[in-house]
Amino acid sequence: MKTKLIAFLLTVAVAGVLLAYGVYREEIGEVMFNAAML
Amino acid sequence: MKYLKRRIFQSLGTFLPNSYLQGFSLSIAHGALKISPSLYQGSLKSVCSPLLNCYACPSALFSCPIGTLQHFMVTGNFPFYGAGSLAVVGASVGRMTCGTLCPFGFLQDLLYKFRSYKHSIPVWTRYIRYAVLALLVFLIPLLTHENWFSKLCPMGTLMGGLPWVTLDLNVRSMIRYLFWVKISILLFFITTSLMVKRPFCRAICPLGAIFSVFNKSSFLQLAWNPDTCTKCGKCQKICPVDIRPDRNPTNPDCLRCLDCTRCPSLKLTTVLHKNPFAVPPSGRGAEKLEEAPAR
Repeated sequence: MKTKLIAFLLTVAVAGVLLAYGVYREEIGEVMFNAAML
Repeated sequence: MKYLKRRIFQSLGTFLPNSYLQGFSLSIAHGALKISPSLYQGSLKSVCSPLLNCYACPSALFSCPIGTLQHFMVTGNFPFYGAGSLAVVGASVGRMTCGTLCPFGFLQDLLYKFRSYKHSIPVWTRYIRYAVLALLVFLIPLLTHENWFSKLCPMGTLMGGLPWVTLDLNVRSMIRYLFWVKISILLFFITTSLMVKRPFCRAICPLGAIFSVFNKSSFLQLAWNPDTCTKCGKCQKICPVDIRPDRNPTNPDCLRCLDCTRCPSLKLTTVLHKNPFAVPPSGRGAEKLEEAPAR
């Protein structure tokens, strides 16, 4: 169970870093533009 | 009751992300009622829904996550925001959105209920979805600068292609052979879904391939109690993807639909619980499973 908890915490950390870096790179605007201007 | 709850969630997962009804605006031209499709262009389109839901559908409110990943690959960039959004959902619930919210999964579940010849597919077909993810979502769009998965996606045909072709004359005039390829793919999966449990989710879906990676390390987990399990195999009969959750509760194919948790030997838990079966289960759940119809 400890291994699963560590795996979960690592996954959350990686997911958070990916998401935060995407937001920092202002990808949200590009996602919206791409989806709205198909 | 759990079936009903899941059907309610699946209905919400189908209708709420597609609730932009202004996308089908009505007008009267030359005395005839005309429906003109248009796309929602508001801020919600910046959100990647964790479902296979086409963002070209006139009623779609959110972005398709696979379309977003492909768009960034086409432009030669890594999709940090799209991948991060999916990873956050995957880390929280694993593949649960596939089992409880996805509209295309819901359609396949409903189609399988029709009386027809039933068949199972081999386990190795699960690896096709990883190949689809790697090739059609990442590698080929990067090399060809074209969204190849979106071009062939059956959900895209159903929710995006068909409404536009039906309602917009300009789009209809642009129909080429690729449209008929898309229609054939859609018809193939509709027909197969009558005979096989969720064929697209199990063998093809790249979103399912992404979420299935998180099943082992997500916050929500499926726990199995070997002390009370009689290995009767009823969990497989009611499982929408035909797996044995008692053999591997963190199976990457598991949709976390929780249909099997009507058996007291299987339970939804979290990574924080050291012993989820500390309190012995009552026999009530077992009786319910006995009564459950085989699907």
